[in-house]
Amino acid sequence: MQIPASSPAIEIAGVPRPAEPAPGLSKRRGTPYWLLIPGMLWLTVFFVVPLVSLFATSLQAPVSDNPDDGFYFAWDFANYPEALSRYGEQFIRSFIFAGSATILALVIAYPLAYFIAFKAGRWKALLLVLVVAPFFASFLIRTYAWQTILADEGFVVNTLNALNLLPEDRILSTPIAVVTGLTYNFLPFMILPLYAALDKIDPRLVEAGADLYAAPFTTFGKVVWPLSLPGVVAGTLLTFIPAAGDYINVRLLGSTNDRMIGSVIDSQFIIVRDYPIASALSFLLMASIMAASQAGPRLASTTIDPSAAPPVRESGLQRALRWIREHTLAVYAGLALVYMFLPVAIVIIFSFNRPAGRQNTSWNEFSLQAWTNICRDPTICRAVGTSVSIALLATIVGTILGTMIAFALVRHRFAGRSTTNLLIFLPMATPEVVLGSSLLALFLNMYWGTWQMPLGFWTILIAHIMFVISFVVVTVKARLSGLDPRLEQAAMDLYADERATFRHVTLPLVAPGIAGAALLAFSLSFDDFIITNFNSGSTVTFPMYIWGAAQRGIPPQVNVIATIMFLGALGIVLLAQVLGARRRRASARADARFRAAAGAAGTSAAGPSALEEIARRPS
Amino acid sequence: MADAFKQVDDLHLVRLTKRYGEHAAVDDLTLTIPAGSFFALLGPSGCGKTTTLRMVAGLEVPSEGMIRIGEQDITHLRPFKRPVNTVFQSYALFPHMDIFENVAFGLRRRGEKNVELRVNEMLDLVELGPMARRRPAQLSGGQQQRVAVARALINRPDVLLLDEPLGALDLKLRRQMQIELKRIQTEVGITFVHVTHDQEEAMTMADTIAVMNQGRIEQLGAPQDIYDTPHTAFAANFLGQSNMLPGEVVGRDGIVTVRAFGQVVRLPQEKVSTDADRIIVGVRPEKLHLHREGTEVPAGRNTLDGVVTDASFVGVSTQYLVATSWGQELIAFEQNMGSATRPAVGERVVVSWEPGHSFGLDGGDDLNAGIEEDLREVGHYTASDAQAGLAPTPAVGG
Ligand SMILES: Nc1ncnc2c1ncn2[C@@H]1O[C@H](COP(=O)(O)OP(=O)(O)OP(=O)(O)O)[C@@H](O)[C@H]1O
Ligand SMILES: [Mg+2]
Repeated sequence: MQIPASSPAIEIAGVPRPAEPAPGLSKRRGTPYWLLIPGMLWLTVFFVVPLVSLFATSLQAPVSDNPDDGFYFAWDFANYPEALSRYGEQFIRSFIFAGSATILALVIAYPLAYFIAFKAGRWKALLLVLVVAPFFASFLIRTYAWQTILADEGFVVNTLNALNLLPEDRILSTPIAVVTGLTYNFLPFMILPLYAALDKIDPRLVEAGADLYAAPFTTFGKVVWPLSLPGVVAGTLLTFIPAAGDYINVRLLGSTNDRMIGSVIDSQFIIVRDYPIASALSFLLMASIMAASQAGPRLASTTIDPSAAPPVRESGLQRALRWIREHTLAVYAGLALVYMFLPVAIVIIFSFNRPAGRQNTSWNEFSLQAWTNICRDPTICRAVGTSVSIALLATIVGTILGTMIAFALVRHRFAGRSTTNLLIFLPMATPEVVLGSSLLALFLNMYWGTWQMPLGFWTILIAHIMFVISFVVVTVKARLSGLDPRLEQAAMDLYADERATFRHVTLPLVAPGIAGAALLAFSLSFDDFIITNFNSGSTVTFPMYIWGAAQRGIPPQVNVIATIMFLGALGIVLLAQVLGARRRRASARADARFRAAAGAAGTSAAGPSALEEIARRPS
Repeated sequence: MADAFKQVDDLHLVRLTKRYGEHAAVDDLTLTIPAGSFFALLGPSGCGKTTTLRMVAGLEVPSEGMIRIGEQDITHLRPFKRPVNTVFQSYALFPHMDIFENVAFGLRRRGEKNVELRVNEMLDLVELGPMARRRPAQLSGGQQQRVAVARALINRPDVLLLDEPLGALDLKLRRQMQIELKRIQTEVGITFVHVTHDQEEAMTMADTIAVMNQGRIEQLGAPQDIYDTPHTAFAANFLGQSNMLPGEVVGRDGIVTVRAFGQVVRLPQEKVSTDADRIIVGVRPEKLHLHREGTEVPAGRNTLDGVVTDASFVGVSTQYLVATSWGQELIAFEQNMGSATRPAVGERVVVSWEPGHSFGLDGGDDLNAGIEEDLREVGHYTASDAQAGLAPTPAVGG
């Protein structure tokens, strides 16, 4: 299986890829307009235009002291220092929280990704599936699960308190809980690019390092780490960007004292309605993320100094050490997986709970009630239906548009390629609050006489397609540019014209990438809350239902649906895996049977006899 | 497997040039490859062999020049329209198809009949019948290479391009595949253009060899002609080993007389490929004969005096190193005919050879040209010794 986000990796890191179009295949340098226009148009209308108008908003001044009187355009750059001085504290806190979460995620993810890439053997595919699977159990509900795990008087808090490790005697409503949640939520975005980069490293390089007298730590510092840097950079960005703009974790796990900048932007837009300040904050956030993502790669490229590593002596002791080291890695990887699955386990367990009160956060008694009556509250099932329809449509449209752009970028040389690349990268580098709020501003401005663009299903769909395209482009592009151009050349050499080459060679080879992109698009859309929240009007998607139900208490049916989604995704992928393995085994068996038969007949199947016979055959 | 002898035309490369930036990978190459011949392109790594093949296959667009098959200009024909197939240097097997489908690919694209039968026949030919349903990743390197050969061959193109197709095979299988390829080639009568590093392979298989160096053809001809009468030091060194004596021409009257290091050697005019006054006299090690002191040297042979400094027995022959008075070490191969009286190390000997066995090269040639690449295969070098010996003794008088 092709793992979805495996690939934002290389591209986001800005590592230049000499994507020369394959000679003989696409000599035409003309702009592939028909491939580009649909997707780029979508991004221009629903990303660039809103962003520009958001910028214009950030320069507005209030008409009067009452913000409800509205604003007028005034080149009021003073909004920026004003926003900074009012919310500088939240800015700094966001960067500290997001930075800590990113570092933690790197520390957790690197050994796990390393283990999967180099040590997992035939369990590799299964482990990868496990890494992406939690994506499918709703993000919100998993974050609620952390409330249960970290609850006061819970197992975790009691244990840590017994060891006297907690300064405030609790975790929930402290920054520790927020950083734990952020780390957890964006961990897959760290693991997948790391895995993609590590998996590309030829294990023979590591062997060569050892062969050339490098101790294991030196080999790691000199060979593995530098080669995995693109993955480190990509993972860092993909984790840091959403973490810096997030407000869900702080809302659910933190206290009001720990507000992050995402929360401020959200309330400025939705509650305070000070649009100029909210817009200025959005731009400040984007600008500082851009600055951080410029500095990040430079920081990461400082190589690890291997001379600090202890020398390893050749002895029985060394063997023991190696045993420990190898198993330490496995144990570490196992613990990382446990960390990833703990909330999912909680979600599943509590689907069998009969809550004592309204809140389904502490165990009361076992019950199948929620499972036998999923649609007791019909709004849940309606919300799930809405989410699935939107996700399916967004996946189909986004995958098609994104794949077309990816082909244009990899297969053609044209003026404006770097602009296109930038336009693909930007939506991923923009925090969701900014995407959501700017798009809302656009929709509010779409009216014709008395007709006003209604917020609801279609505006959500438009928004989802917009933010899904970039992920699709990046995923498909990675697969496409990793494709050996000689394969297509070989097809052309064997009488396949462009269409036949595309159908029989290119498409089947890129298909896993497209499937992975579609899977990613579906999960991103199904699970999105922040952007949807801005543009949904009165339409309720599944994440919005959860959010809205939080005050009244989340019914266990929500856990049931999350469990079904999770198990369903896991089941589909595992099934594909098992079928693939069975096919391979069958072909190996047929082969063995033939060899046995040939052996019985007294001829060696592997021997040169057949060739010699043919050579002697008179013709 | 061949039912009909294919009627094909000559392949012409005319002033073919391919530049990557400033660097000319192939430089003004003009060649005619006769229809139905087995043509070998031989040359050191990076000399432009693959680039040449890729231009013929249509996978690379020439910077200049023209490619024709017979009268048909195919320079700008798309790859899938050319009656040319390639066995890629790196196999380029389709990883998502099994072996059978890989081999069937070309036939299916052209909508041919009897695909099943022909593919199975071809797979049996390359001994991969039982592996038909495996994926390329499940084969060894050598097996993959055989699939690549089968996949191209089954289409019976006018020209089959082979880019070091046997590189990954073990010696035994390699010899068998050589015989097999040669047999198929004579049977189906298509033109084979075979790229190889292996000079022995080139000499045993090819009708014509082109020795390539830095994007140009150094020499073109039948293997025996190139071996016996190389035209450049590069060709002499790249194809086999040579002893080389730089000297001055002192007489020309059907026989060229050369003075080198105070010695006089002769060789026939037709073996000299230059008019220069300074030439290099070359002679292959197996053409040299050693005479122990007191034995008679037959008249008319070129002779040089020396001392045996090394003798290594290698089964069918013994390899000697003989130091001359000016410090050059000559290398000589003597057949082991069972005679008990082989010269011993330290013994004074006379080295002799037939004048007709020598060849004359332009004195301006680099004695070491083509030698580094060759070292791997032979493990000896002589010409550089010659040059080392030459350096300190420029003024050896006669
Ligand atoms: N795409 C390219 N861009 C730039 N230079 C290239 C390219 N392809 C080949 N070259 C250069 O052209 C020269 C010839 O390359 P080519 O692959 O034809 O060599 P070769 O004779 O096949 O070598 P080998 O025996 O090692 O396969 C080399 O110097 C190589 O570096
Ligand atoms: Mg080559």
